[in-house]
Amino acid sequence: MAGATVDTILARHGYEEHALIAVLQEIQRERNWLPPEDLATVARMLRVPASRVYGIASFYKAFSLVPRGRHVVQVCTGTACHVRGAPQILDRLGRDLEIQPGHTTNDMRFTLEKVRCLGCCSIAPVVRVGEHIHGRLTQVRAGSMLKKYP
Amino acid sequence: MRIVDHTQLEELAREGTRSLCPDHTRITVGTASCGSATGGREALAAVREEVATAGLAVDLRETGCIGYCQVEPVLEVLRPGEPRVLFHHADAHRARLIVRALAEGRMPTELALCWIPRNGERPEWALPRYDEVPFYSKQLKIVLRNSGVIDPDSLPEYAARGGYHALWRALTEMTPEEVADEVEKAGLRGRGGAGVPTGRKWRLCRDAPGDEKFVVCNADEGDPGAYMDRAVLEGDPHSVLEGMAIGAYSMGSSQGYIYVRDEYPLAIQKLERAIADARTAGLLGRSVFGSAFSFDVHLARGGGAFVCGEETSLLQSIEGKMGEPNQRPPFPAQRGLWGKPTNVNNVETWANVPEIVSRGSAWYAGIGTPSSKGTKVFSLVGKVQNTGLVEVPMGITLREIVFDIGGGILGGKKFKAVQTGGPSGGCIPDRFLDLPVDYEELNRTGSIMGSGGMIVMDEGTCMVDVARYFLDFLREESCGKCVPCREGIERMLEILERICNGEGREEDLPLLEELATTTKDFSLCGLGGTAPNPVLTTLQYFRDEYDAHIREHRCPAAVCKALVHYSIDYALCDDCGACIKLCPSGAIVGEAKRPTEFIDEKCIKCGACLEVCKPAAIRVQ
Amino acid sequence: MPTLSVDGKKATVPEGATVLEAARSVGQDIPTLCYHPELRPYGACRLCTVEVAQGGRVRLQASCAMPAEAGMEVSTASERVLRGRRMIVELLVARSPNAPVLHELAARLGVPEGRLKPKNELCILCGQCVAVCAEIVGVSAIGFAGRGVTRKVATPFESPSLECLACGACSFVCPTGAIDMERTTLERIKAERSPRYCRYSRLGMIPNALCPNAYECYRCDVDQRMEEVCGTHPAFVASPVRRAAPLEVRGFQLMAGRYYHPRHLWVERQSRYLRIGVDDFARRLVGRVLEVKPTREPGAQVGAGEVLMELRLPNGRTASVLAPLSGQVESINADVMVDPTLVSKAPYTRGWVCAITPSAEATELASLYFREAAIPYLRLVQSEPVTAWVEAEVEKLKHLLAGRAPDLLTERGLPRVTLPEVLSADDWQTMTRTFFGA
Repeated sequence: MAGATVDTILARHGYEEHALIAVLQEIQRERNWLPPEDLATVARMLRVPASRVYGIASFYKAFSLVPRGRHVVQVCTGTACHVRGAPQILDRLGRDLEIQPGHTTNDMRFTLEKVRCLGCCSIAPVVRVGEHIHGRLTQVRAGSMLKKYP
Repeated sequence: MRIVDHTQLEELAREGTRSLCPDHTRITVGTASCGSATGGREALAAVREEVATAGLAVDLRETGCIGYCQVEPVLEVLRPGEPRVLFHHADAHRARLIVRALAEGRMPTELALCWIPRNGERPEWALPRYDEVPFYSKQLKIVLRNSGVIDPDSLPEYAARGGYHALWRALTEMTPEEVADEVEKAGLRGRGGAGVPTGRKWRLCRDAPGDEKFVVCNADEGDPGAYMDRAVLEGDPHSVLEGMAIGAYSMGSSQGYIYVRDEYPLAIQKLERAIADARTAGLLGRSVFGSAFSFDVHLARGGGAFVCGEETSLLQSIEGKMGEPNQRPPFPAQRGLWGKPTNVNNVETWANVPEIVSRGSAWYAGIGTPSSKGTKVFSLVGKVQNTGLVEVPMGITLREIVFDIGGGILGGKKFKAVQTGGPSGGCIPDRFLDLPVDYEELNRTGSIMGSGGMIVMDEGTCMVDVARYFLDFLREESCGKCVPCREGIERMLEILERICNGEGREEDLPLLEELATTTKDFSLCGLGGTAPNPVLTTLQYFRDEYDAHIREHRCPAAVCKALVHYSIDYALCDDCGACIKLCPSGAIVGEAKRPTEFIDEKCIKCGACLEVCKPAAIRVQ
Repeated sequence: MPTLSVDGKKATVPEGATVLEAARSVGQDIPTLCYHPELRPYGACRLCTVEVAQGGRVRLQASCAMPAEAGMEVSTASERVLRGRRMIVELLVARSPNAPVLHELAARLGVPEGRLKPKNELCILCGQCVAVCAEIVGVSAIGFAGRGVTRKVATPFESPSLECLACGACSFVCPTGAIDMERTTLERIKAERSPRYCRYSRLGMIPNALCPNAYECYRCDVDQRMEEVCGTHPAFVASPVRRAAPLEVRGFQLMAGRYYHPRHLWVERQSRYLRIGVDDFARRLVGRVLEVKPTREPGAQVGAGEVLMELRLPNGRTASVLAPLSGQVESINADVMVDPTLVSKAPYTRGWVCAITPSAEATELASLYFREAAIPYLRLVQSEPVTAWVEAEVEKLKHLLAGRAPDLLTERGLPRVTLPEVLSADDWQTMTRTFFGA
């Protein structure tokens, strides 16, 4: 699907330069990360320097330049979550998964990330797994939460 | 159908009224992000199932956030001839109970939070009225007028609440100048941070030479702890579109962009739907309301960068570039998106505009303080009883917000500070609790209004750790372009980490202040320019905590890991054994269920034992 | 010509000059690290920050990016300024303890030592290399990557850049000597079997010169003389108009400092002859060029409006390039003969098509061309006739392609697809007649 998908995405945005970020977002949604060969295609087709594409892909947090796990576990570390125990939740998940934030488990099941505020501060601390938001977590609940994701 | 005259707009509104107040029961479930996260979706499914089983004639709708997030999921029932009834903690189980009661013809007020008056009804329920609930008592909803009331996907319901009438009024009864005048006279100021008078900003853009101009909505709500913009976008997207259209008419623009942060997928979904509906109805696009005015809105999705909340970076990002700020001047009003005059306002600011135009500047200017008009939405979160979104008139005191609306501190602990303005703001101590909240008063404390996050901190919050937290945040979020911000923040963080680890030195504090001053004065954009605020305010108001860390190697709030020790108070222990089972490092040793020994060297200070210990026998010092 | 006061001295500077330029014009020295007179102001090092009093307010502003205005009172070395400047240098010395330029600055400003833990970076992220590669050389082989503390200057994906010309302009401007990327590129070029063009040839300064010295420029006579003659890195004199911001109309770019012909050609004066290429509008219409077929040999005469070359496009379509004015064909760009896609990839730079010595330049230029003035980068680009012309062309294009599903154009009027691939032969002919025809 490689070339074809990227091309469809580019066509949808009319090969316009300013759609660069939107194009990368769609590729990332499709593949869960940004493979370098796709980025090279984007640079070529949009006629923008590869250095700019690489710059953007490495600047914005939403993009990943390495493959990510099936489930991306995002621990919110916004202020409200911080004062209500997010650091402990993050530590706990890191211990359970045996990875540091920003890394992926060897079996490609989970990627652990910390994010800055998911906007659900009233039910802090919050973790998002894939599309699903878990609120009012404790260390114990955070640990059992992961079992739901194969 | 394209709406080209007032009769058609009225017809749309009538359609909305029929759906808001149908002649049978209407049940609405809050399914904004926070509602969904606490079980709103499950409640919705449960209601659907029960309704089908009971064969009830019910209009089941989804709505946005009603603000009282502490009691989510929230469900509302409206029966013909009765006021609206709000149910709290309405998870799937309670939702079923509610529907079953309704099926029996009974309003289950025992499960309800309050009732909301509609047409002056006075029900005989033993239930508080909406404004008798402390959380809602002091609120005044302008920006959140529709959130949690209407179905955000329904254009007619928005129209039924007066929506698009302001745009109609602007286009048919007012000149572009008059619109700008009205906004200026209302005294509306930017709700995203610095509080620049919106009317003045519009005028700059209006008067800038150029026939192509842009209006932009900053929906990159990046301040951690603030989420009112998400609530507005998820609960009332049309109000933003209408505000932008009015602004565009006033400034002579025909193109708008909404820059939404990537972390808000539901907001994007709601906006996409609202834009599509408004285009179909002829309220956006070519020849709005059949007039000579054309205006269309495009969505741009952020890439996850806090600095893109700064307007020049935001514009760079819309152009598909790295979100790096540019020096101002030139201001976006002179040279913005693609080099054209551009006006950037945030979500909350735009959502105020239709109400100002329809109800008049005099009404709006009558609310608030001399320098700050109208209301402000705060997200009241942290260590407070009632968390949620509160919209209050400017000038209300911090005490009223935290104690009257918020119900005071969680677990009966002592209030320590309230943090406003996100990473650009500061921590305000208890001596300012009676401060009337407006732009100037908050600035005077060294903090800022910012976008309205209000994070309450109690005695269990370490202020050195809070300063360290914000610098850690900013170190990751600084774009890295200019030296003072990139290097200065990193060095300040280095010092704070040292202090939190108990390795602080006396000379660290003056150096910290020196770094803070340079970063503040010399940074290129607002991110760096305000980055030292959390450090400076905590140094100013909580110097004793810094001193305790440095001189006594002690963290008074028992937060900084390197400075605390766990122990067990055996007198309080009830021998449940939970801590022994849970301790990941084997630091708690016991016989059967009775802890007998605490091995300090093994303890990783994760706090898991604290969480499970019911009699609070675990000591942290 | 605004007049302002700098440390009490009166400075009168041209419209559009910066406060830094004004200060230097009256001999007030302000230290800078990211500023280069030939590059767009970047404002990152903040060393040039000064106090500006204007309208009753005193503000700290980076002087390199601040336009000088009448009545400003500038203090370049107030106590507040000096305090911050010292702190910035202290931060930079701690970042890059091995950069001599920083130690000189530190000594000059009296910066305290040893308060911050030293790191070991040579690059201070001043951005001059990135800017010179983008604005002067025009290839953007390097750029910034990462963010905040992880920010760095890098080639795409941190592997040797394919666009790099190894011209060395980046290491020429680097104030700390942090750049050695050029070498890896040279190794790559050497390893390839392609002709070893001299770096001045790759820069577009000398056509088709091959390097006889295995890219050891220090052994090259020409190289020594080039730098002596230019007084700077030769890239800076290669094409000075690249520094002006292009004008953008409806998403189509027009390079500043060039003449435009209504058949979508640009003409640029290069000493005796004129260089010719297709404009952005044309390249977006033709999409990809597969072959360039000149109708004239170098030395032949060509009349205004005669076909100068044929472009072979996808799907068997063609387009012709007309001679915008009469004269003698001086040369055909050898690069586009080898790689015809350059015509659409880099229409304003390496994709030029030919050079002509005009026969009646003055009259023809005046009557036939729109002139886009070379505009200093700080001011707004405004050129009404050119703008109106592009607007009209976009409307024509929209009209021609109106009512097609799926929409071939974006809302702004940019082609969404490679038009030669989707249009029928008849439709394509209409297109070429309308936009490129005689």
